[in-house]
Amino acid sequence: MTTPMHRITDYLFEIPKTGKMRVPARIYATEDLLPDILQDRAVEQAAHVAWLPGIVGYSYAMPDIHWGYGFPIGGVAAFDLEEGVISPGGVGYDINCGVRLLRTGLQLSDIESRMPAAVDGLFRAIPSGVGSTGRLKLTEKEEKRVLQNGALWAVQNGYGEEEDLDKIEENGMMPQADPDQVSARARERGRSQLGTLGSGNHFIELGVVDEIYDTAAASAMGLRLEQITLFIHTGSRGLGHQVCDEAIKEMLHASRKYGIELPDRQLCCAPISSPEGQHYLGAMSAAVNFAFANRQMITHWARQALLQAWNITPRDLNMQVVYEVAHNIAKIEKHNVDGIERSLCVHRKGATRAFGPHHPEIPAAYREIGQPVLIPGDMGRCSYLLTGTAKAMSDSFGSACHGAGRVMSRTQAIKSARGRSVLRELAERGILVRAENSETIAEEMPEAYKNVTQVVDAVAGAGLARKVARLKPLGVIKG
Amino acid sequence: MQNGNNIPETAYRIIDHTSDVGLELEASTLTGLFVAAAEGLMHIICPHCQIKPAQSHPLQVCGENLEELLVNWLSELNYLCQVQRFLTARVKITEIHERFLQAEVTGETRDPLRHAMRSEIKAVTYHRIEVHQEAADKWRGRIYMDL
Repeated sequence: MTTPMHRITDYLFEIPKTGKMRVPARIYATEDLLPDILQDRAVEQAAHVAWLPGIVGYSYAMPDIHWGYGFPIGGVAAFDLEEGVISPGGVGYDINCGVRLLRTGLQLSDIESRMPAAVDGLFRAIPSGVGSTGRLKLTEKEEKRVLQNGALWAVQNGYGEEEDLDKIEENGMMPQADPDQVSARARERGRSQLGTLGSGNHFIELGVVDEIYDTAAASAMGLRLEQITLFIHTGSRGLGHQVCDEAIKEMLHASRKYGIELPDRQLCCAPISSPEGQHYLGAMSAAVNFAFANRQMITHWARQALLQAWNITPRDLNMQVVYEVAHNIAKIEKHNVDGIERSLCVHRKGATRAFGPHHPEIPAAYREIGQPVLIPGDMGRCSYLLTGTAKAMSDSFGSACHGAGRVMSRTQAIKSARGRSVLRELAERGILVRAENSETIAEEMPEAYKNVTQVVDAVAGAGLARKVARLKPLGVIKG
Repeated sequence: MQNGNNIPETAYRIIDHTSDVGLELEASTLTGLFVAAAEGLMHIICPHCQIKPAQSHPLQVCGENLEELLVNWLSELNYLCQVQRFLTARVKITEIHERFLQAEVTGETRDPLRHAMRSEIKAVTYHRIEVHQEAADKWRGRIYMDL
């Protein structure tokens, strides 16, 4: 099926409301990105999201849209709290998959020759790869505290500093979390995985600020050219996967119970105010907190690993959180809709919150510049730091893209890497990569992803975020 | 993986997908189809593992229909692998109907030195799922997994 789509601006396309769609769908993209976007059925998925009850405004998709389960990856949709629904397919299996960016007090020239020690140190310190288990095994009681308190639990238990919390979305703790709504099986699945990177596209990346586009915003974030940075990309591990898995089963029944017509079973949902909706909200928020704690613990071990690898003092390393965003989440937020402030349940699946300047929910230090928006690219090219805008608030429920998005399947990538050493090619370009499994490096090769610069330019062109800085990778730990 | 059901070789085919992975299944019986699905799942998780049939566990799975039964069956095997660290070498399905499956699962606890894991399956999904009988001796199925 071809989904009809017409151009609104150079950066925005619309699928008109037809059939059972309750609102139109809007896709942020450029002509250059369209061929990749139309390669799979992601656009049709954005149209299907518009079927869901209580959807407000539009079903949105960001320029890194690609096919997902139920909602497309890159999908954003907001629902009325009374008439609307909450859908686990609008959050995804990796609940609160997200990105943290840290800056250091070091310049490239300070440590260039000591990069191998740093990459090896990080690789040793942070469990990664398929089936990775953590350095600590939580008791049931302690795990519930993690689910309740998120990154705060980590800081209270010696993993990092209290000031880290100020620069995390939600300050690293969702108050709606209800650990009792998380099943024993989900808790069991997560218990040995706190403080692990996992596999797939998760990574830790040492990088360098390569270009600055907005000096004032970069300065507010403590960033300067040639400065060494660290990205952490991971989520809620098996605990979140299990919460989503069980919620899908429950919501399939709930959709029938509440008479919700679905074009795709993975879009199953329940009214937000229903017992099933509230159950998912409590469990999902607890999984969100698990992911916040996970990234906080990895931050702590990364600090220790770098201090040791570079044999410097904490004062020299001076590694501080620039910001942390969630990019698989559903949250109750206030938005202005047609001049009226409304509380909505905003689903972002493979999309980043991008609140504009002066929003009360962003840290005081960033209130003038807007919320930092972290957009990691592939391991060979670059990543971007942007800030949210007033236009994002008015046009996309304060949302922007989240990354590059795959263009090659894993098998295609492995085939394309045959006879080559992706590891060596990257090393020749000054990028050191470590992974438990060599096939992961092939699967995650730069060409397997869209060029993130095109994605970021589309978001910036649409006015949803402003470019602040570009970062180049130097050392990557792949899951 | 060997099947312990004395049924002809069952077939699964990996569906290549941009982000994830799926299985096309074909077998002469419903039992065979569910065995093929288990084989496909283990191939995705650890394609090169030599798994010894050291221990056996009984397993029972329920579902509202065959599709849900297939999702729950593979989810259970994935759970065994991820949480119990139990790798399945062989499955013997002793009873199956639309809403119930009973099996004996044989394998061993994962030894990181011998068992290199290839993929971590986040979940077994309902996306484009199919389980149907095409002819008296032909069953087909399709299922996707989120990696």
